Amino acid sequence: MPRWLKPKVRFLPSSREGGGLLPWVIAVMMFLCALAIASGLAVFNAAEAWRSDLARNMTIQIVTADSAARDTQLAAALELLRATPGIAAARQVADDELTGLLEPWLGAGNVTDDLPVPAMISVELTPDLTVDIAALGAKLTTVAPDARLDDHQQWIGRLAGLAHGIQIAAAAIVVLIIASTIAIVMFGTRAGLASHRNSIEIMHLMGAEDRVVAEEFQYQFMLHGLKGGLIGILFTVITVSFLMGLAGALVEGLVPELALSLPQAAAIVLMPFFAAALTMITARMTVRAELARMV
Amino acid sequence: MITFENVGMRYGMGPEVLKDVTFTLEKGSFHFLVGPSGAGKTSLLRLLYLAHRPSRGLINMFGEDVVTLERDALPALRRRIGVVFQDFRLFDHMTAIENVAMPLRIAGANGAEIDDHAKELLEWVGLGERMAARPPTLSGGEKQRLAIARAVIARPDLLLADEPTGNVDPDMAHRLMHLFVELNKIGTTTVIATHDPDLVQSIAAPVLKIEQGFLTSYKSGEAAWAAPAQRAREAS
Repeated sequence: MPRWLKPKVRFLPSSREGGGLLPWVIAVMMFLCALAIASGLAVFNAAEAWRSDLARNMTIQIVTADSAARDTQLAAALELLRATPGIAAARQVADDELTGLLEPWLGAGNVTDDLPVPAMISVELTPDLTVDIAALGAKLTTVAPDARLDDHQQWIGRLAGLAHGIQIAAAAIVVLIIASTIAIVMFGTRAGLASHRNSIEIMHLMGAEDRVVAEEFQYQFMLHGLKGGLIGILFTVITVSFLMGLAGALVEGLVPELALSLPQAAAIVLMPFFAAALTMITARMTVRAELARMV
Repeated sequence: MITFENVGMRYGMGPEVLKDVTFTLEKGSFHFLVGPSGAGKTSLLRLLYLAHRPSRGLINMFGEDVVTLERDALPALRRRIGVVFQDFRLFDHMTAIENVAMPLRIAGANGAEIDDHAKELLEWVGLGERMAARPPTLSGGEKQRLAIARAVIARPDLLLADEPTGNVDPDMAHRLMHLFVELNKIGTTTVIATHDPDLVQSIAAPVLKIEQGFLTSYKSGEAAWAAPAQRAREAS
């Protein structure tokens, strides 16, 4: 423990029981807090990754039952797309692939040759160039009147909304947990002050300033916070690793990968220090406020 | 150095336990504070060691008006006062030397200075062999001496002792009184609250006698014992 954090005058017995249940309560609080932060961040990361993947792709369908017209329009559309700046690649989705996409819905062997399946073009955009989708759509309809352009904006919008909602919920949970932790530490500090009232009075009568008393309490509560934070984060790391393992075992590609970046993981692992600072500051302010009421 | 003028004190909304108390303690003076149990000795001491503020009247200590003084300014004044509590009020989890050293630690003295002073003083009060002992393992007399050592270690300007010889044998009582007299000689204003007439007679010193909340000053112990319950009679 750094020397500057230690109180200069110690007058309370060093609690052998380590603060009773308080570190464990803080551990539970930090566990829930870290879990909320980790899930909020993981969902944000996954949504972000999915969004950027989708935003770089477009799909164009040519929906007409006339197969000759479909082929003509397909060729014209492909030609136009390939000549458009900002489009990295445009390729016709092969019949086999289309059949593969439809089979889960229609059943294997039910996709017959006479079924009027639209022609489909998968378009990949270059990441740095922006394409005017509306203008492109208008041009497409002149060369291929039955073309329908889907830039996934509706889907991306809904996904962003969901991710945003999850983030807000996680942030609200974090705020509530921090507020509850502050309240618990305040009650704990007041109980500590009450049980050591006699010692505090003697210290005051010997000329100790409130600062001396506050330093002693804030140090003890900082240790409780650090201990609770470390236990809480240990459980968080175990739980998050377990859950990510379970998510990873799901069919790949069905759900986006849940993962934390290194700075995000580091921030969560540093949370015990946040817990220590929170308990220390709360204890200090509580002690100063309570002592100000004494003679 | 210390002046009380028409001081009254009550606890909460209760009756006045000190009434119109007026007296002056000159710098370097030595006083006994006597009076029956419940007369207000402890309340007067609480005012003197700044654990309580008066309900009315004026108190001036070390040139400061204690009644209107900001709370933040009290610690500096309290560091100039040494107190021997009747129930000692030692820290049971600390060793004797840690207990004695506490006022110096609060005052911010350096470690070596604290150790030297504390050891020297514990030797002086006869606790040289018990420096590492904790209060629960000490006898009543040893605790008394420890409490006295703690009260005087920071060389206070004012020393207040509540029944300081109540738990010691006559020989130790004599030694402790000698210690108080020595401290008084180097300029420490001393007030000893006691029930013990022999102790009061042992030293020629003025006496503050308190009865039913009223205080009367006498020049000596004999005068105080010869005039019992004067103010109380006047009041009734």
